[in-house]
Amino acid sequence: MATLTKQKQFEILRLVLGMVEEQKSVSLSDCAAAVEIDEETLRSVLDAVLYLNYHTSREHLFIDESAAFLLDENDRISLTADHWLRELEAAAPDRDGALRLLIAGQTMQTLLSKPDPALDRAVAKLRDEVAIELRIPVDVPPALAIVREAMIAYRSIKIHYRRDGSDSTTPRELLPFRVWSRWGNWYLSARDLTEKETKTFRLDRIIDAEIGEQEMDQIPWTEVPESFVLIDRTQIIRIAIAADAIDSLPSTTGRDDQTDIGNGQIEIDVTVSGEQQINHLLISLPADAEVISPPEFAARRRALAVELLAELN
Amino acid sequence: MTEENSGVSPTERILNLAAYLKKCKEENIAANLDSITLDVEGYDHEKGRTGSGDLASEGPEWESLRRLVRRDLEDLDKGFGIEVTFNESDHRYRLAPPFFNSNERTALISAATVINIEGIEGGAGQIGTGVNDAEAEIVIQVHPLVAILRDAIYDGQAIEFMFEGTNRFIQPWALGKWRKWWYLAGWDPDKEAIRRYRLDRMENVKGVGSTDAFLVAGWFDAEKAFNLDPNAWGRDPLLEARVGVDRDFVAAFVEEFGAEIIGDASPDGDTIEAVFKVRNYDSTRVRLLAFRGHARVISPPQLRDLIRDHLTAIAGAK
Repeated sequence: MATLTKQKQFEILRLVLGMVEEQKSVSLSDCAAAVEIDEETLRSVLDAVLYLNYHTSREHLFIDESAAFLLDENDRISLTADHWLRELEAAAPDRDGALRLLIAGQTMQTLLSKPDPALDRAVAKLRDEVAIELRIPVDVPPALAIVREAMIAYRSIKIHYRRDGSDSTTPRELLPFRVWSRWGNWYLSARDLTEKETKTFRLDRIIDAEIGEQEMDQIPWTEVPESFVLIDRTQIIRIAIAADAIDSLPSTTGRDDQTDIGNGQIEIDVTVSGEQQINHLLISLPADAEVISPPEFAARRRALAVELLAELN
Repeated sequence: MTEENSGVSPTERILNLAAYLKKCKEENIAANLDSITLDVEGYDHEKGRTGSGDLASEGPEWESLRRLVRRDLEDLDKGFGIEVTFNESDHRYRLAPPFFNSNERTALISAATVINIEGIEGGAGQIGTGVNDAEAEIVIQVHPLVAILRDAIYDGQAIEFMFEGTNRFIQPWALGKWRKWWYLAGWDPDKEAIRRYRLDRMENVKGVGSTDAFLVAGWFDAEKAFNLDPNAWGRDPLLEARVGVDRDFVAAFVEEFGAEIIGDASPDGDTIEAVFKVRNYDSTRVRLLAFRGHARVISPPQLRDLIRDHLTAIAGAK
């Protein structure tokens, strides 16, 4: 059994007891793995909390906090009362901790159907603690509420879904597994009832969502993708454009390799992803901008304009 | 009994002290050096005391006890964030009030359980870091520069970075989100103006010079700084746009323009009429074209012509 410094023991207790409070019950082995020590050492560190009771010199004064945490015969640690050490914590979370909690708290505020005064107070304290000007409007797509409701009820959702670049929607019934937000968008990992594999859906492309009839026994764990394979959909388009018109490009574009070509003009590589973004870039470039490469995109741009003019007429 | 032979480890003694102070607070019992060293298991209950059991008010043993209690209280602060104040007038130790009460902590833990924030690491053991991230229902990714720039703002340190091929020097004043993107608003001392930069287009960000080098101006309005809708700050003569939007695209249209729905634009109800204010014609043209033929300007004619003329020019280009 390793000998640990007092500071290390505090660190272990803080982390493990925090896990126990936040997960309600955790195995000793998971806790030991989290703090990177063996189970026996952890057990001995925990003794200081698990069996904390003593008589003082005053007869009536018995100190007992041993009921707060329980290590059972299955080697699971549970919280059976308040986490009394955290109840005494006067220090504010550190900078990163406060920022994390602030964003989570503000997002939660937008998800709740009615205000939670305790959450509101906590968020206000965190905002003071973060102590910088930080504007974080949390925009959640309208479909999120129904999706969460379905997940809580273990039910399917019936939706109309508009695929990237598509002009129409398709009805689908999905088993919703996980919602996540990355790259500025909200996504749903879900399985269509008529399909076998789990797919990713953009929440902002879900139209007319409602709770479905299909029940789920459980929600399978779904990994949130670190990235999408977009290589086959990513397109670099080189354009010549007035330098002062660069900000008029669609905000979804990436920009790179900018070259000044004189007369207030620049050449720049613009990265777009998917047919919809390609078409939007081509059609919205200022009329005097030039598509340099791929060369065929100049003709595509003209064709798009003709097609859209016909539609508008 | 001495500290060394009491059989109580320093960790146990310090936790015993925390529990004792909690009890004293709950039962309104005075906690002072005398009661702590006499009542808390782990201290030498005989050290520094007279034959009648009273704690001496000075001397090497008293000083040694006082220092031990002070160190233990410092450990409680560093180890668990438990702060204890000492009142010189009544010589009593008191627990400082908790930062979050129980309900507030529970609410935050619920939020952290549902929502996993990626891109910012909280210190180990802090509230919300003990949840099982793998089970979070919602994952939110925060741009990695947010924490770095937050520090620069907090510390009052200027930054340097590359943006669209140019080196910039900025006093960072505020961070904010608009739509999908994180932005930095800061003061450009050379241009003597506020500048805003999208974080995903900033490269090689580094702090420059000393901390506490600037103060955010009192007139700075963060809400205004991060309202990046071109129709909020544009200077073109104001127009009110009325646009017919296909039903499936209405939600996206409303989100894009902050438009107000005023009714059906077609008898079958497949097209909805939306209205919004236009103060930047070019950006409005670009954004309307994202909806291709699913958003058609009804009025004013000036805006309709803007789209039509643009498309005509492209269609006729060589």
